[in-house]
Amino acid sequence: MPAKLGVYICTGCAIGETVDTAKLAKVAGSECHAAVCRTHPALCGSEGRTQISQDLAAGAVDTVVVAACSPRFKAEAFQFNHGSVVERVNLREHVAWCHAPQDEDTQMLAEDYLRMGVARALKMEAPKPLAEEISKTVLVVGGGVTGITAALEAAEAGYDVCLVEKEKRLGGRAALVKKHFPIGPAYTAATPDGIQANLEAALRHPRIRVFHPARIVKIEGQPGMFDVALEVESERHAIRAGAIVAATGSIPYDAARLAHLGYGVSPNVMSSFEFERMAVAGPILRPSDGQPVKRALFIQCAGSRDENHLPYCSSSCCMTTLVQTTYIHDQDAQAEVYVVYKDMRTPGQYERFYRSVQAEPLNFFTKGEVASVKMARDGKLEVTVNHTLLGETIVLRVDLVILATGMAPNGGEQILNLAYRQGPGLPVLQNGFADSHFVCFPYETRRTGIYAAGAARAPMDEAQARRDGAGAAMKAIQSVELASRGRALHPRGGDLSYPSFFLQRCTQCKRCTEECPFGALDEDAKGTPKPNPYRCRRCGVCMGACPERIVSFHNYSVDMIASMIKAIEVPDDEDQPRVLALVCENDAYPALDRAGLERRRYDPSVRVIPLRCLGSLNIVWIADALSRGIDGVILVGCKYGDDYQCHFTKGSELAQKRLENVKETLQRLQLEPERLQLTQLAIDEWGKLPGVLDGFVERMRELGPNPYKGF
Amino acid sequence: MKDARVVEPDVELIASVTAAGGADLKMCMQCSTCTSICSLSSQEDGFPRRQILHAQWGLKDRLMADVGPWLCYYCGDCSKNCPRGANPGEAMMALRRYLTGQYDWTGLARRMYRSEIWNIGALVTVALAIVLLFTLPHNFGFGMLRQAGPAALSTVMLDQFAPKGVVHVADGILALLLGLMLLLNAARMLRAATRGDKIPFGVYVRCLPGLLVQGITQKRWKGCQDPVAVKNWVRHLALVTGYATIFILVVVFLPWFQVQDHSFHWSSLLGYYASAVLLGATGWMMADRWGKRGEMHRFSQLSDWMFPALLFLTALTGVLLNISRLLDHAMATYVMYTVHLAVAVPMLTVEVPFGKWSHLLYRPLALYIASVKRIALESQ
Amino acid sequence: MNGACSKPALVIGGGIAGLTAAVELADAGCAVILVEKSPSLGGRVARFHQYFPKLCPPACGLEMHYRRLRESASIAVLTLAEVTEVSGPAGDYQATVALRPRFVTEDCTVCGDCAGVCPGEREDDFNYAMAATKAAYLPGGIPYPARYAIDRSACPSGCRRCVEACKYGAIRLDGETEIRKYNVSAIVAATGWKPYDAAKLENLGFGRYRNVVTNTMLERMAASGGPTAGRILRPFDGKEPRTVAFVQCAGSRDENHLNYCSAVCCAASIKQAAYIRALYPETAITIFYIDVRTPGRLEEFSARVQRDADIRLIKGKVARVEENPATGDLLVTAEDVLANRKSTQHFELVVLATGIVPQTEGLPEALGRDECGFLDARNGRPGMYAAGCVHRPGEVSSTVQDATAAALKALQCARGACFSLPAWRGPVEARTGGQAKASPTGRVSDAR
Repeated sequence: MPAKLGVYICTGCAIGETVDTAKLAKVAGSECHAAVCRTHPALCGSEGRTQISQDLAAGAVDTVVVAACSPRFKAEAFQFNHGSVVERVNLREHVAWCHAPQDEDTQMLAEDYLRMGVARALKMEAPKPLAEEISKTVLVVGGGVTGITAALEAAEAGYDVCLVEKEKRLGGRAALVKKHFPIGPAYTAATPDGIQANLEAALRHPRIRVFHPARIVKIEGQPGMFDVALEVESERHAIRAGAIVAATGSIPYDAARLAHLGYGVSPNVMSSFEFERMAVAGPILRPSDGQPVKRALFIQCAGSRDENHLPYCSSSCCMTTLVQTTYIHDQDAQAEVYVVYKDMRTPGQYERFYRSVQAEPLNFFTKGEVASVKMARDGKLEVTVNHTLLGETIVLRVDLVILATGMAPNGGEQILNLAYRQGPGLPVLQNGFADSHFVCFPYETRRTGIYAAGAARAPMDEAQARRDGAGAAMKAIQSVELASRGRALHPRGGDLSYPSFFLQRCTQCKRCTEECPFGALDEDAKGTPKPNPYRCRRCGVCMGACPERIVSFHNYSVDMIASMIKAIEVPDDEDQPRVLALVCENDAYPALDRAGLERRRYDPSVRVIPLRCLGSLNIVWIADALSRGIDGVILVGCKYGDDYQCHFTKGSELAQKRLENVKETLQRLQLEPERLQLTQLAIDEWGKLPGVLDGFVERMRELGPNPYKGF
Repeated sequence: MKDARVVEPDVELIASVTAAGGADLKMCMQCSTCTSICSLSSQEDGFPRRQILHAQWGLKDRLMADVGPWLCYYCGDCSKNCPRGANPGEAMMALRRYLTGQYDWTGLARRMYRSEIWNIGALVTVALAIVLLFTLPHNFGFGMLRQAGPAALSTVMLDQFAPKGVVHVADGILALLLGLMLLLNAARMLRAATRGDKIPFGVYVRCLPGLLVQGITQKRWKGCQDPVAVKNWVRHLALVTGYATIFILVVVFLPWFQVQDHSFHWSSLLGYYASAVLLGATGWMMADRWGKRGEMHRFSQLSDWMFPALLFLTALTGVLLNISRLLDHAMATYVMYTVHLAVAVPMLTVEVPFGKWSHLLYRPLALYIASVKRIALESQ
Repeated sequence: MNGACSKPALVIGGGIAGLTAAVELADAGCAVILVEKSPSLGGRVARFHQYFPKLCPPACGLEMHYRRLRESASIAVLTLAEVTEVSGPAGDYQATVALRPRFVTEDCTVCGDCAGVCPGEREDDFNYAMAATKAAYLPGGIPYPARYAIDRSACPSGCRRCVEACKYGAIRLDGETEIRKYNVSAIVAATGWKPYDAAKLENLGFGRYRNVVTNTMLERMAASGGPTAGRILRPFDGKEPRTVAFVQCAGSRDENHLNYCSAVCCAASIKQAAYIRALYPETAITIFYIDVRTPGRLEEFSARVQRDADIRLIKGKVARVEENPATGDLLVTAEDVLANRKSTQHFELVVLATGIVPQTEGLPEALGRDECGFLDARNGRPGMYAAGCVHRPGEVSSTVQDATAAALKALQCARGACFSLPAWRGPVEARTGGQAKASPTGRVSDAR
């Protein structure tokens, strides 16, 4: 049965003064066949809202179109608990506040927006939320400090945890450390390890199952229903988990590659990890001859901050070295300890520890670059250091050289063994770390429900790794909770929609399975996509990718946008161009709102349609627009490239690719490729936006009308 | 590496500088706030950051070759602004103490800086020697009372008690000896500081006037752009004039300066001026030190007290001596005379070559060396 | 078990840390009361021009959070609000919140008519007093809630023009402070930080010389919505600076000021150098530092920016800044420690990289304080947790990471299991219920 459409037009906030709302109402009635159409001077006020809910309650309408301000305002005001569709038409920010009042073009714009809004509303379908059996068990991969913390914290929040460690021994490297740098008041003295206690707790916690030494054979499925195949010493186990914390840790950078720092010239040159082991085992002696160490020298950034080795800073070596100097002085107060650094990095309260270690009379710190480490005839090591604070090249003759080697990620394709079409490992960002690209969303991975944590994610010190373990555990818990309610995760948190595939028409072109930024789609042998809706982040990239247009959401579809485009009235009149702007709803749309709020004017021949993500752009829309005589289509989306800002990682980039492909076909149709443009724009560049749009319209005017006009 | 040099920290140096007041200098993280804030530190001779680094690393040869510590007049801006609480001002003071010990060839200075027993012991020994000198012999001192009988008590017979001629000669010899000792140390300082760099003799000559001017006025002190420093400089200048006056009176004009009757001589006017200035300045200085007024006086070691204290006492006893003479109180005069010398002589013998007094020569010499080096460098 | 929480959690502070904690909790199915003392959420990050290392606008991430707040019914946002008292045991706190009047009701449509007629002016604290707003003003950045506020202290007495101008009857000048009480399970303190008062750094001339600005002020200048609309201009004469000096550790790592490292200033200055160079390619930049502290991935960002020949780094702290009163230019004295050379250089603009001061006023004593004035970084206490810069200086992503971890602690309380992992040290207090079982290696340890 046809929808009972109710159109409510607000005349407040200068809308009434700018456009002829009576005419609008006529459009709603005659063209949109609205069952009810009302105007109100302040629709968001209690009176206006009551009016709408009364109409809903009375059953006079079941589909509401509110033509007022931007949907980003007054959201709570227009939430009616009738499960009915409520569509917003932005007559304020996008019309009244940025276009000439009482103007024919402005009027046409408003009417188009109303038609488009109605078209959109009529294409809305009621959500059919996902409702499968969800496992809330958290799988923690890695029994190091990060994993142990994640497991305990999740278990204490009431979730069952499976902890998988590849070694016989739990605790990772943190458990092999003699002392830890202070991370609590007074921050001045190294403290003995406490991880043992947590380790015990993890082992005897009723909610935690520990598998060790274990190997993950395979993980298939999706959030809420991961099927994990484990092998514990040839004994097979099958677990069902809802979410995964990948705390696979880091590995010390291979000191053997640091020959230029003397590793290998003598057993008395060792990595900080080897030194730690010696300190734990017993007295600190010269490995070569077991003689006492009278002079030791630490070389910082051994491998780190080095183009030829690790380009990044390993974050924890400075603190580790400070702790290790105390081992030497605890053993022999008369020993001399030298530290050659590039920059001492003891951020935050750690600075207190640096200062307290400095106070030791026989600690010698200098910035400098180690030129060579050679073995002298008497068996001493001669370390030559350039560019020192002493203003010259110096040579230090020492018994022991400790290389403060950094950390390399222990990501490894073969740890998680995901049975995903896009590969078995977590996608990495840089240098093999499975880090998030986002500053403000550090847990955003491209594998939904799987969260990298600790040193596997980014170089970090132990304290940070523990926080990270807890944070990742929280995200894991959250993902199973949202899954259990059939809701999407960030960035469309709470979204009930998910893509449905009309597979009868699938041509196995594999574009969707390749382009999905989150590896949500698997494939069967023939290449038919196998959707995993719980992995899906609802960006609609698959929808945009599909040439057969078989992918759609209940509240977002190719057909929906197409019918909005069709709703635009294109005058045959030569000097009245029409431009379609498909804009990202996350950044470009708010920017346009802000432009409105700032009362910035721009050309009224632009028709704006927000998209979930430019990645959901289906080229058929462009074909539709151009064939309807629209003169040009401009896409405004997030920046792409190394510092991309797309919340779905590569939406605008994909859109650009698709655009390039269309441009070729355009030429065949005797249409100028300039009629299509993609502009990258950040949310704070609202000031530029009117200029961008005006510029595009201007170019369309220069190109002349779309030859297909009026066909 | 040809310009590379093997660094062997002098652990003993670190210990002594720490003991001499540089306890906090290890805290320094080489941010160089001190050098930047210092209004005396120039592009050429940057301090105190560099000196502190060398002290941290126990680089003795660097410190010996460096006159930097003497170019600082301790306004304390560096300590006030040091982000690390490394107290650079006091570190420089500690270095001056350390260096004074190093310049002295007898090793006595080092001993006295390290142990207060040695310092006080030395003073007491000399004092006792003086007392004995005036009690044992028969022809002068208290011995002479036995010969001259009651007459010597009825009226002041200072010339018999302490024969002008003898004292005058003794003065001269003492001054000569001490001066020699001091010059020897200064020579060691000069050698250490200029070792290695080629400086044409002419440059040494050219810079001499500066040496004299600074030696007398210490006017560089004014460079510390802060009123307290200027106040301290004026006070110090006054002290120097007073000291110089009395020195000249005693060494050159003693025959006229030391009188036993009421006959007037112009030199006594100078004497009054000197005593007044000495008493005032040293008293004021000690008061500041006691009240820890100003960065310069926040930390004090025995050596900082000893010199002004002895100078104060010398002046005081001198005044009392004069009063008792004018009152014609014979016994009091003799005793005062002995006490006066028992304070003055130890002060001179101990403080001049081995103690803090020596800075009177080291500071201007340091400036001299600095300018000599600079000019030599420029002329190259 | 289901995700339901017995009671809401209380999050104090609506900056990036508080927002994150709140949204994370809500998405995990827990009700949240989010208390912010200013009229809008967003906190410090809302005032930033760009984040490092991506040079992306904070508004982008904030918009995502605000969208969640708009849609999520389980987060109650209280602005102009402060927690005045907390009582009761962990897991069952009674929190008293004082809501200062906004004088503008929910009926506000941000049409701006009130500001249009408002005669009163106030210093714009959002722009660090570099600009002014009307007494009736819309909070800076992307305001949340999107509603005007009125600063009554800036109102001419008896003025009612805004009331008359407002078509929606949204203005109530008679508003009064309202006291509310909430029963909450856990408290997350995310009150953030404030920039160190640069006026206390006498030798650096802030407050005396107009062309000495702070890094936070520079962010506002560069921001598109800022007082100079995205252009960096000298306060003295509105000229674009051709030479800029950054003074690192302005207050940080200094026993006389902040006895800790503020952790973010190095990367911040490098970021600012990068965007100034992008904005004014002929402007040369000098950064005076003690140590360049750009840990982890930031190192690559720092290295990339330093490849620019017109960005010079000099190891040596600035101890003196003087002004040429005629030109407003500044003389900066520092020693290049590596070159062993002290010099006084001439700059057109000086930016003080002032540090982070934790905002702990009014927070429960139970949260503990450390010798740096931060809340105890260990988060050891059950029931009350700190998140973000109020307990450790850090950049945005580590703050968010931290807030997410704090959210989990709060979630545990909300689920009736206030628990505290030993703050990374000391004996664990895990109240493990079931019988402890030894775990022979090579077997599956399973307590069930």
